[in-house]
Amino acid sequence: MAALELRRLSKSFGDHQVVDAIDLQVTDGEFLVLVGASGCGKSTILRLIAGLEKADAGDVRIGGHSVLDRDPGDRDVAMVFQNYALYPHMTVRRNIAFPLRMARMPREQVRARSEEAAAMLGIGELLERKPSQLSGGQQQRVALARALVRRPQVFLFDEPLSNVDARLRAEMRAELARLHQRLGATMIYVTHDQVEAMTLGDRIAVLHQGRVQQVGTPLEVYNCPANSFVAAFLGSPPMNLLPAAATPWADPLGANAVIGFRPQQARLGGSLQGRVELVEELGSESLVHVRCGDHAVVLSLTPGHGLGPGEPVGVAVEAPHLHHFDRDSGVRLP
Amino acid sequence: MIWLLIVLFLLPLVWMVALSVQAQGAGLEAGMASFPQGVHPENYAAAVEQMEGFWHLVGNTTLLTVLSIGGQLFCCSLAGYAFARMRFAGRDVLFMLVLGTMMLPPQVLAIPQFLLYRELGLIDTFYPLLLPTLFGGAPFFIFLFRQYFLSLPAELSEAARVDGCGHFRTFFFVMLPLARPVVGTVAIFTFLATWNDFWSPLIYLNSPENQTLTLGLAAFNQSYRVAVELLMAASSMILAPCVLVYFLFQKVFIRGVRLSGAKG
Repeated sequence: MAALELRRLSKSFGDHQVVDAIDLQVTDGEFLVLVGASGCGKSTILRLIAGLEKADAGDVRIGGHSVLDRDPGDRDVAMVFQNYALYPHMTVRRNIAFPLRMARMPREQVRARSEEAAAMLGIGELLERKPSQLSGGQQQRVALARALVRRPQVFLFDEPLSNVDARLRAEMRAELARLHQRLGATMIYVTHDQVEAMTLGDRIAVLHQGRVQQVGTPLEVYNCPANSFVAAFLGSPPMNLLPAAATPWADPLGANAVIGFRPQQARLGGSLQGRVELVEELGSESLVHVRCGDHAVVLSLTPGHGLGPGEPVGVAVEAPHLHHFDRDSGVRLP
Repeated sequence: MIWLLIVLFLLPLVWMVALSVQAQGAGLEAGMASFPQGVHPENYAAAVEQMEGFWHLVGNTTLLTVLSIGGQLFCCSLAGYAFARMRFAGRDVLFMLVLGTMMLPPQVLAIPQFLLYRELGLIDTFYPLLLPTLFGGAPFFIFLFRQYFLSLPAELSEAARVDGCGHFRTFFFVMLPLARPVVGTVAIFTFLATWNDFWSPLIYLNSPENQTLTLGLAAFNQSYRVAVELLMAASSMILAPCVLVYFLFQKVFIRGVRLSGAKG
C-alpha cells in the first residue's frame, strides 16, 4: 500500500474546467471518500489517478513517485467501476485472474490468488459462471475480487454501489468497510451518497465545481462545515440556511451573514416564528416543514408531537448549534 | 403470398438442380419434367471430369476465400477499434474519408488499380485480390466494427487498461471476443463475395493455374458443345458451399443483415 498525493491537479473538457488545481493527500492505508453532486469532477479525479484521463496540469504521486507518464496498467492501482465492467465473455475465474494473466504471472500463482480473492469475498462457488448468470451483488463481489487480486497500492472505487438496491447497498457498505479494515489498503471512493461518505470514509473530501470545498473526518465535516455549500450538501435533511436578518439570533457581521442549523438540532418553543406547512412521518423521526416568512425550514422531531399543517410554531436552536456563513462567499464565520 | 414468394425464389435453384440430374442431351426444354425418367447423379462426376482442373480451381478459390476472410477480419476489426476507441488527431476526418470511398463504384477504380498492380508486377498473382483486404479495402466492414465497438460500454476497455492491457491486448482479449456477431457477419459476407467473385479474378488472373471457380465455370460454359446438364451440375457444385454456409449460419447471417441494414 502507499500514500497518494494530488498536486495542483487540473483537467478541463473544452471550456469547462472540471478539476481545478486540486491538492489532496491520502495517507497510506486511508479510506478517503470524494463526495459531491453530479458533475462536480469527482469521477474525473479518479480517472486522472487511474490514468484514464490525461491531466492538463499538476501531478499525481503514488508512493512518492509521479505516475503521470505511466500507462493505467503501470500505475499499480485497481479500479471498481460503477457498472462493474466485468468481461461478459469470461467466467468469474477468468475475470478475477485477468489482471494477473496480463502481468504474465505463473499459472499456479494465478489460480491460487484468484481462488483466495474469491474466497475472501464469498464467491468461491461461482468461479465457473459467466457474469450474466450472477445477481447484481455477486457481480459487485467479482468486481471487488478482480481489484484486490492484484494487491495494488491504491484502490479506486467509482460509485460502485449506485446500481444496487438499498438493502444490498447497506450490506455491501459494511462489506467494504470490513475489507478496508482487513486489508489496511489505501482506498479512494467516489460517491454522491452522503450516507456512504459518512459511514465509509476515514476522511471525506467534499467537491463542488471541480474544487475541494473541505477535507476532514466525517464528523468534522458534518459538525463544522467550512462553507454553506458543505453545510447544505451533507446531512439529511440538509442544514437550514436563513439570512440572519430573518432570524431572531445574533449576527456576528451585521446583516451580511447566513445562519444555519441542522433539522435535528432544532426544537419547538423558540423565538423563530412560523407556521407548519407539511408533516412527513418517517417512523423513527418526523420531519416538520415550517414556513418562516419568505423562508422554509425543516425540523426533525420525535414522532408524536401532534403538530398539523397551518399550526403556528416557534423554533428554538441552542447557540452552539448555530452556524454562521458569509452571505456572499459562503465561507464559515468564526 | 409468402408461398408464392418462396416458389419464385426457389424455382431457379430447383430448376438448376433438376437440370443437373436429368439425362444428358435432354436439353433445356425437359427441365423438371425429366424427373420421372430417372435421376443421373453421374452428371456431377462427368462435370468434374470435363471441367478442366476442377479441384485446382476449388483449391484456388478456397485459398483466396480463406485469406480474404482472415484479411478482412484482421484489418477491419483493428481499424474499427481504432476509430471507436483510440483518440488521435484527425480521427473523425479520416473516418469520413474511409466512408467516402464507399461512394466510389469499383468500375471507376478498376483501371487505375489495374495499372498500379501492373506497375508492381502483380498481375496474374493473387495479390491484387488479397492486398485490398489487408489495407482497408472494405470500408463498410470497418464501419460495422466501429459501430459495434462504440455500442460496447467504454468501461470494459478502460477496465482492461487498468488491468494492464495496452490497446492491442485490450482489442484481442476483450473487444474482439465481444464482437462475435460482427465477426460472423463480416466472415459470411466476405465468404459470399469472394467465392462468387467473377469480376476481379477476370481482370487480374490470366493463367489457368491461377484461375478460380467462377472463371472456370465461365470457361466451361463457353467450351465447345458442353451439355447443359453438366453445366448445371458444375453450377450446383459451385453454389453448394454458399447454400451450406447459409443454412449452417442462418442466424448469424440474418443478424448480420439486421446489423448492417443491408437488404436483398
